[in-house]
Amino acid sequence: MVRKLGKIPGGKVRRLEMVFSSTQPALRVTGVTKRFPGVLALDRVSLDLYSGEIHSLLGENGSGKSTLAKVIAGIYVPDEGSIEVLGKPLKPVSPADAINHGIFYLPQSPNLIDKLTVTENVLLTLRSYGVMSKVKEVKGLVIREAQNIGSPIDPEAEVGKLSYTQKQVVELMKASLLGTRILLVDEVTTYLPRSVREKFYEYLNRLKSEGKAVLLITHKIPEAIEVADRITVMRSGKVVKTLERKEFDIDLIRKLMFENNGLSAYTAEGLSVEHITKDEKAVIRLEDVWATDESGNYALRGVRISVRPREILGIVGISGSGQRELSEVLIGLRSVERGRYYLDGVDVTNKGSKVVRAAGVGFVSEVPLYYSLSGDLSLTENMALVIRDGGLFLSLKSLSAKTREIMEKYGIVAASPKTQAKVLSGGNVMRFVIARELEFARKALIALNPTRSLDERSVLSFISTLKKRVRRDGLSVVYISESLDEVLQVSDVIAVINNGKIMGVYDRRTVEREVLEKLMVM
Amino acid sequence: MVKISLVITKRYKRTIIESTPVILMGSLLTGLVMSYLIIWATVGLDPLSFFTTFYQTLVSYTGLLESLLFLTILGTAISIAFYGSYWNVGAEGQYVLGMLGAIYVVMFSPLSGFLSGNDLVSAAVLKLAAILLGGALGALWSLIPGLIKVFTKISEIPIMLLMNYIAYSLSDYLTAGPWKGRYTYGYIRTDMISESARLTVIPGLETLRYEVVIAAIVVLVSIYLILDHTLLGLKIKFLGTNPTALKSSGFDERKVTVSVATISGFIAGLAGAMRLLGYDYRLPYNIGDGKTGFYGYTAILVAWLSFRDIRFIVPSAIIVSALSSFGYRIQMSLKGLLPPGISAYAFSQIFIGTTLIVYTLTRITKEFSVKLVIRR
Ligand SMILES: Nc1ncnc2c1ncn2[C@@H]1O[C@H](COP(=O)(O)OP(=O)(O)OP(=O)(O)O)[C@@H](O)[C@H]1O
Ligand SMILES: [Mg+2]
Repeated sequence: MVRKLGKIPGGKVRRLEMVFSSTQPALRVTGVTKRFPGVLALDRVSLDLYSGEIHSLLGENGSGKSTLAKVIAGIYVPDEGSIEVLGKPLKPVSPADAINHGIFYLPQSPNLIDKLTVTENVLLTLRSYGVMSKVKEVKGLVIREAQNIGSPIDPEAEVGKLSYTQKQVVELMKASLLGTRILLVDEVTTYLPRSVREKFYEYLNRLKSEGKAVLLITHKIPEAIEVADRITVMRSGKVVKTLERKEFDIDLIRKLMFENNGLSAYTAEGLSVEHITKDEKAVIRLEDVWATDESGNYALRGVRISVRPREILGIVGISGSGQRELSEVLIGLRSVERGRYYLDGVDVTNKGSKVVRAAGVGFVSEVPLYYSLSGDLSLTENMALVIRDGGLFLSLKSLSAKTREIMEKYGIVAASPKTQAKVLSGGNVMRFVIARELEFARKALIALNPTRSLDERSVLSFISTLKKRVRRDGLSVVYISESLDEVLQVSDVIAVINNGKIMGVYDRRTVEREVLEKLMVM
Repeated sequence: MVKISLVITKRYKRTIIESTPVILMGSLLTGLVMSYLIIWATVGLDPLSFFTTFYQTLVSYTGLLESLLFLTILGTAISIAFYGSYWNVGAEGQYVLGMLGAIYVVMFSPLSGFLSGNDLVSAAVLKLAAILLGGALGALWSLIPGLIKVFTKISEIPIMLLMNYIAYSLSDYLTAGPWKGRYTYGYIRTDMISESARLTVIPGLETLRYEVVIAAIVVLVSIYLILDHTLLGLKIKFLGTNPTALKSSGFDERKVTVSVATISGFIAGLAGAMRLLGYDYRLPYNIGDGKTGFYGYTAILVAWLSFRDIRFIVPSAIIVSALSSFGYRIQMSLKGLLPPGISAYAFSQIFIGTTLIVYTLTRITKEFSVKLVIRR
């Protein structure tokens, strides 16, 4: 049914052209509807997925991508509609049923047990689906697969100590051992460092050449165009259109995703601020700051930065260069071993987050459900932790009204302020934190990879609101990101971080991209 | 070396049994049937007398109500601590300290002399002072492991278990020493507190005291209000669900832990004080020999069964007190029926055990999946 024209010489993967015959798809979704209290997450969705294709699912935040994947994977039961695997109806009532049909869902946050080793984790999953496998076999596979993806892993290592990439590799191993024929990848790639991401694409292409089907969920259009054979665009729970490769066109896709909705308005808004008064006093100043990571190694080595009012300092570097620790020091979560931290001229070194927050510093982090929100509590409660009026007593009514107002202002999609934070779509969780922190910040904002799970429009809207606040209210911003493009787009001043050191500080208007790139990988 | 770990993970998909009342009734029923089958197989007790006993337990609610009230107060104390991930297994010790505080005020403090008059006002002041000091001592007893946890990161659990024994010893020391009674017919124990310092019996419900009923309601309602309508409650909930978010929002995790420890200990102390003023009237020697009724431990079960949800405290307390009461009655009715060597106590435990296991398992599997991993 599928003809492969490409060959894979010497591990190098070329695009495999494919021809669909009229035969049955590997997976067919027909008219699936899924409602949550107050939300129609999927509205009569139909989709075909063929063996040997990478099929990208694109859509703005909250459009229903993850929900669709979870329905296919048996995590949610659809209210209406049907799913067929190779022509046979699948009534997934549980993830186990889906797995037995060769379907594996790779979630955005790895679903592993931190206290157990890699091998134990893999074995545990296999056993619970009735697949027996020897310890030795699994260990060998762990080593082999990890090498394939380019991220070596010790099979005896505790999963809690692994990096994000490595954890996802472990998930992929589970998928491979369970005999997966249909792999659903939910936004994993947005969290991978660029070098790993390319290896990951190669891996997906290999799966494809083995005749497997991949559903790649993303909201990054260029990524989809680069790797996918077909693209399906979703909007508000509906499938808008499925495009063949020859129809791929970034503007067309963008239009389908956002329906032109406000996108141009955001881009039109001047996205740069060029009015820093050189002699104003620094709002945030780090002097020779040294700090260690969890294992006691220095993650920051003599960091020196300063940010003035109305200034955005972009800090760029490849992942794992000390960005996370730097953001933690700035918000007062991590103490420093040496050096000083001045906020508005006041020494706040190791004074904790209370002093920093009291000064009006906002904080947007890359993992909102870890750093900023409690997934089990309601949106109102999560809002009230940072924004509330009055003292010791909370008026739930006015807090919930306030939450609703802020959610409307920032276009956050959720059934109600009573909704638990964890049921929001990935992008909406991020938008919620951004909204809360932008509303809170009076003096400064610390942002660590804030746009990862945001769709294009949300990124633009975030950046434009941020710039507005900077211009209007004189906010100072430390914008830490792995994306050089983004840092170039946002910042007034750019610093490069590499191995815990600041390699240089440049004026955005005069610096050359190559200079920064070189410093990042030096 | 073989290492066995129990792995508990949050469930993706819900199980079939969702509703808590169903789980509750189902567990009771399973426990009943299982224990009846065992009893029937061993001694052939006829179903009629078995189920009449059960029915009588349910009907004779006054005995139930007494332990229900104390388990509600103590269960709330422990539950609020659980909300903030403070594992208060020391309620037993805090409860004993509450007793000590109460008897001190009504018997040995200067207050007792001033207020020994029989007028209602001074008696009320005396009782209130006794209850408050009991609460304060309970709070202190819980604060010590709390401070140790906060400043040294040593877990509160072993320290609290140790402090329960220290509380018993302290009580025994006072009872046998400085507070030893004169009118005790030779027993080692304190004297009885004066009539005017005792709590008020509710006419018609001899096992109940007005003050205890009021306290149970006040405690339950105020903890509910604290959790849902105050900043402190919000902080406690974040402490229990995501302490990192609490810290990054500018709050001191340690202060919240200390507050939770204090509140929890205060309520447990309060319960102890009321027990002494309302029921025991004196301190016995060897108080650790079950003379506290082990309420402080039993209440852990209540809090645990309520799964960090204040609304389930009362249902859980009902289950636990009904179980102990029914177990006791079964024990009585089986006496004489059993062949020598088999104790009636064993049967009551079978019933309690089965019911609790079924209840706990269904509630756990409702939200979590549990697996066993063996590492060689
Ligand atoms: N378990 C749930 N309970 C209630 N509502 C839910 C649940 N899961 C998803 N939703 C809602 O369904 C809608 C679609 O969410 P979904 O996670 O599928 O979006 P998405 O396309 O993956 O978005 P993102 O790009 O932000 O991850 C959202 O409005 C979300 O709030
Ligand atoms: Mg999603």
